[in-house]
Amino acid sequence: MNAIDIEKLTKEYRSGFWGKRVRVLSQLDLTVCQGEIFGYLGPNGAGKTTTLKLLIGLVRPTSGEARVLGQPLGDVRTKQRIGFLPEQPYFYEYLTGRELLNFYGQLVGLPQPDRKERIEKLARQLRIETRLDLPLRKYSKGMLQRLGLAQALINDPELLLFDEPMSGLDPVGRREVRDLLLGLKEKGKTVFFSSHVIPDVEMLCDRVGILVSGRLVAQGPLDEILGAQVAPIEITVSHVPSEVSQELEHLLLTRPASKGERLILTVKDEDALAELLARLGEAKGTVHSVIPQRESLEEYFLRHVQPRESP
Amino acid sequence: MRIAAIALNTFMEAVRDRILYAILVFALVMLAGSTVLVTVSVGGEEKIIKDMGLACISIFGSLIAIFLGIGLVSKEIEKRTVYTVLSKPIHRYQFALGKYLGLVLTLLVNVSVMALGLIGLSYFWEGFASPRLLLAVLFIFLELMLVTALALLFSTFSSPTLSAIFTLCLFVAGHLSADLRLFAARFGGGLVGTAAEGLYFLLPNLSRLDFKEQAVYGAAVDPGALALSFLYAVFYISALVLTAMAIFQRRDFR
Amino acid sequence: MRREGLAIAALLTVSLLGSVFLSVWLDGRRAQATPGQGWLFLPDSRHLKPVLLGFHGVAADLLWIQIVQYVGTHIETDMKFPQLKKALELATSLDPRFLEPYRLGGLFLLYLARQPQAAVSLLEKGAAANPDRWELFHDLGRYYYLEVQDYDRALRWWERAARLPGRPDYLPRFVARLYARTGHAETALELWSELYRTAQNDYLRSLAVQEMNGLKAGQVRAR
Repeated sequence: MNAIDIEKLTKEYRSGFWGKRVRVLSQLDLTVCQGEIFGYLGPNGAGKTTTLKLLIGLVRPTSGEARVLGQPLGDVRTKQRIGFLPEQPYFYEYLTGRELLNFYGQLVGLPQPDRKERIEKLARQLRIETRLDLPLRKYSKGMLQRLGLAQALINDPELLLFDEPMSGLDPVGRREVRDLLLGLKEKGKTVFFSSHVIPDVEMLCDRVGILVSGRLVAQGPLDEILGAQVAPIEITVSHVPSEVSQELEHLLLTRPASKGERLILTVKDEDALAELLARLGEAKGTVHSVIPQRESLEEYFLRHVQPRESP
Repeated sequence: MRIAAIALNTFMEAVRDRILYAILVFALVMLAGSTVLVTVSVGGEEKIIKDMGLACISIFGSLIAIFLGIGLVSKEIEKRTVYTVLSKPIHRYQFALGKYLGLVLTLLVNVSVMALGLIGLSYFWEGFASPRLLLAVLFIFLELMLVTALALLFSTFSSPTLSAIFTLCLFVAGHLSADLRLFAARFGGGLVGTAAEGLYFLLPNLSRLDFKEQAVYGAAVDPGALALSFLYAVFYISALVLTAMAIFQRRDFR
Repeated sequence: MRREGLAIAALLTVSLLGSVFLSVWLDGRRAQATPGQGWLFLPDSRHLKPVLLGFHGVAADLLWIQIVQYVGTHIETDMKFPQLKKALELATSLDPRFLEPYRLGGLFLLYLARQPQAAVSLLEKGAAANPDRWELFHDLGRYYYLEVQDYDRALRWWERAARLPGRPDYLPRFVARLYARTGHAETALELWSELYRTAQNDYLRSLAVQEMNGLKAGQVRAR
């Protein structure tokens, strides 16, 4: 059983009184396997948060279907096995961290001695145990984020749904959350999180989904997505007669760069590479290195997002 | 039980809101102030104190009901505290109901404090406190529960500001509903008359819950009317809360 | 830095002193104005009552307190009470069961403002609105007896008062005497014997006997 199965999920909102329909999510097809970390990428406004809200039942789909842990959307009992962290969470200002976690513990049906123990453990794990008895309005943004993680973990859930879990954290905090997510994976949990911070996604995710303007433009393991792309190749050569290099210019993507005696050429693809190598061989030039430039996720992202985004 | 957890949580949060204390303190000051005011009157002192005491409880109670009431759901949605709560295994209606009960509990504490103040004053001036006074307070409390239910209902679908305005409007309309009836009668059976009559039945008739006169003048209270008014309040409040629960069940949280 | 601080301090002092000074000056001028100026614009109770949203009792109280101030102030100054009737009308319409405005207001209208007609209509309004209270019928009877010496009317009002709960003990006696006064000796006799029967102390019994004897003597003389 997959952790999440989404089939042709569409969400439309009615904008304002005049009822103009806005399509936020279009025919989404997505699966998340159990035990993996899935990164949900996209620019702001792509519909990532809406997807998460649909999964946790805060919002109802316009059409399409989805199953979470095998159950239909919004099923109350399933929420017992899910932990959810919204983007920039707010909490009740006047309660203390402990009272808040206690409240959530009651909502998930944790009996008293276990509740206290779990709260202490989570507080230690997320480094908020010293501030646990302060009112929440005195918490910094980073502490609130960590408290948010604590409430998501209070019921030791199988599936974690996080919306921008790193937001508001400094580099140390972000590293800790990364370690936390990896730790969860080791315990067999499934993590589905949205982000627009690419390095985090690159480091953590087994599989990735890229959402642009409500449509999924790519889904799968990172290698597949990036490897499938035709990537440029960088060749370092020397002893190439100048007439030959001028001749070869049409094969190049960019102008040759010189590095001392050597020349660095960049070709578009493997076909161009073959032709270049053949000509260089004829001209008796020396080839020092051939390095495929795999596009980084960031470049891929920028390339795909720019043209598709509506102004 | 989960509803109880939410109710208690709401109570704890509400009870620490400084605005609540400010209003309560102000109410008690006004209560005490009535004793001073009465010294410049000639005659009618007991009546004036009771009148002002009941008015204080009613007005300040309503202020508390409205201010905290709109914070019930509107503010929560605005500040997104709902998201994490609803992500837990509870039904939406449990959330709405729990919130309402939590606020009613807060109101109960506040009204009790003010009522104690009033009873104290009554003892001070007359040497006793009429049970009719408590009856009037009880019905004021019912009225406040109704106002809170209104605030809850509007909160489920509109912003905090709009909710406050709507609730206030209905509060005023509820007190004027008797006049609406007269207005309807003037138009006979025509379209306007029927519409007005229908509106009269739809709006909460808050004058039915007004037993201030009986308390102040020690007038007889018809037990039949009392019971029926009580039931009217209970039914109307239930209708409001159930509607709120239904709306809350169905809405999207953008 | 220091210069700014001094400037602010100076300006602050000036504004505070200025406001205190102006306040004193304004109060001096206001002393000539008296409470009740705003009453020229008092609305009709029919329009005011709905606006008060069920708090008309408190409004009547506050208005009554103002009336008391108004009367007090004008007693000390010009002994003129032009707004009194209107204000009392409104107060009693707002809370018809509040007795003080009728009773004391009636006295103010009668003895201070010298508007007996207004006083009587006020009391009659109060009696109509409070048919279960003896006080207003009593006051009307008193007016007719003391001011106008209209014994028929006095009798009628006092009789009604005498039947109501809580009425003062002297009322039945007044009624009996007035019956005698207005030529209804038999009724008077009946009333006195009733009083004799129900009397709680010797004084009343001996009084009753005295009156009855006097009446019988008068009857004998009449024949």
